Amino acid sequence: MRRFFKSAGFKVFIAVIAVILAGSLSALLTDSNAAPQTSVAGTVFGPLQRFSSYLAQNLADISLNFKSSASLAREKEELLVRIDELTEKLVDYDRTKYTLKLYEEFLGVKEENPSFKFVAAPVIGRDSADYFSTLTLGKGALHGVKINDPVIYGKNLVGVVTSVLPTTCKVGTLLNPDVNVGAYETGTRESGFVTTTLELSQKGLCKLPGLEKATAIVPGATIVTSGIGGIFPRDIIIGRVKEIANDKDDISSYAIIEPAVDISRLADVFLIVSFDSIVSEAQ
Amino acid sequence: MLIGNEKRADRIRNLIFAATIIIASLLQNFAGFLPRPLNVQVVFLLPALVTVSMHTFEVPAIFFGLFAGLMADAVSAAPQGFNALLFTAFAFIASAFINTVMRNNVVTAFLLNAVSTVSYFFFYWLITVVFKGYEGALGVLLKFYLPSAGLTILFGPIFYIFIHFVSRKTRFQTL
Repeated sequence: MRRFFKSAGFKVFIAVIAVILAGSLSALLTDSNAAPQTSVAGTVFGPLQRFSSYLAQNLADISLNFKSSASLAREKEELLVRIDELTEKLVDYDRTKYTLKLYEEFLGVKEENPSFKFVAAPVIGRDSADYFSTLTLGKGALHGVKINDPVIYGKNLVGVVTSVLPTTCKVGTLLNPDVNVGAYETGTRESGFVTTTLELSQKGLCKLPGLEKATAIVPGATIVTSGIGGIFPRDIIIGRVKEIANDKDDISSYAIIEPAVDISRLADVFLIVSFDSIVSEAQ
Repeated sequence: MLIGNEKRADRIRNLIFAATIIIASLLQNFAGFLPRPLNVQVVFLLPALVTVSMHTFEVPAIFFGLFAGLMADAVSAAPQGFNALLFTAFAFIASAFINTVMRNNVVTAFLLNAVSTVSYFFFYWLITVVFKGYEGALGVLLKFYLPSAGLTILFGPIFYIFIHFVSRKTRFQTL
């Protein structure tokens, strides 16, 4: 045993652990919430992640082609080639349609809010061990991204930047209980903050707690950001009310909200790197 | 000349091991490659790293662990350095056990994988859920983290067979 503790392997192990711990401690002291070694790793592996996300999307698109090619009979080869061509065109069409829709919505937000400054970012990774759908985006400090920048998809809120590396950043989504968003219901103007719980998070839902027992909010109502707090601009859509439930702990009730965007399917988003919060709140 | 060939074989083996870790990391970090049964996730990096570490000495294993951990930290929601710390420890322990007291076979691979994976998910749950004081933490452990660990462990033998094959094929042999 003594020989093991005196071995070169054990000494190297202790040295590496010490370096990692020092890096982790330094992360607590920085504004970006990122350890130096993670910043280096994020910068180096960012392009690889981008490539893999690109590959994942394209593999999903062409898998049907591949399967049908294998199964069709030889005499139908000509038709198969034709089908492949048309399918490829269809895939291109769908992709273009998706991009067009995304940019149309983005343009609408831009026209309504001229003070917003955006950065478009691809979703390049998801932490597979994470319960809360944390996203990694392919833009970081070098592109002007900062902690607490809101992340949107079209007119809909996705979450907020929680840590920034030079070329990537991590996003806490609406499905993370740590993310709290000042919000109000557009019809009744009842306000509060949107958050979630572990149970709701698993179902892809959030909640607006602290409503009066006889709240006028009804299922289907739209919940948007209130702009209070200055982190999120006003009137970004959070989602729709799915149901109203009574709180077990007190006499209030809460609204269960279905986010307007399916976070598990996001491939591209926009970061709002700058906006005029005073104008936004006055509106 | 013989030493030169041996070094070359070592380099080729280490390159394949590093490539395996990179591919495992890319596979696990992007949704879409694999379906998610019952909403649980597979952390491919763990079985890949443990089986790689079983086929190297302690010092290279430490650096493979650090490498894998940094890749995981780049996209992880856990505190900075969490993955680097755990992966380095798992790699070192797996390598040290195999080089001192354990045999290198699919059963020991399964055992080391199982212990590493369950420990990883347990610590992850502890840090990202329990320490934050969320209600219903036990339910998350039972419904998400333990099933994810179980699914990840199933991939251990697959990685072992591949890494063992690579290790045997790239081993320098003298007559």
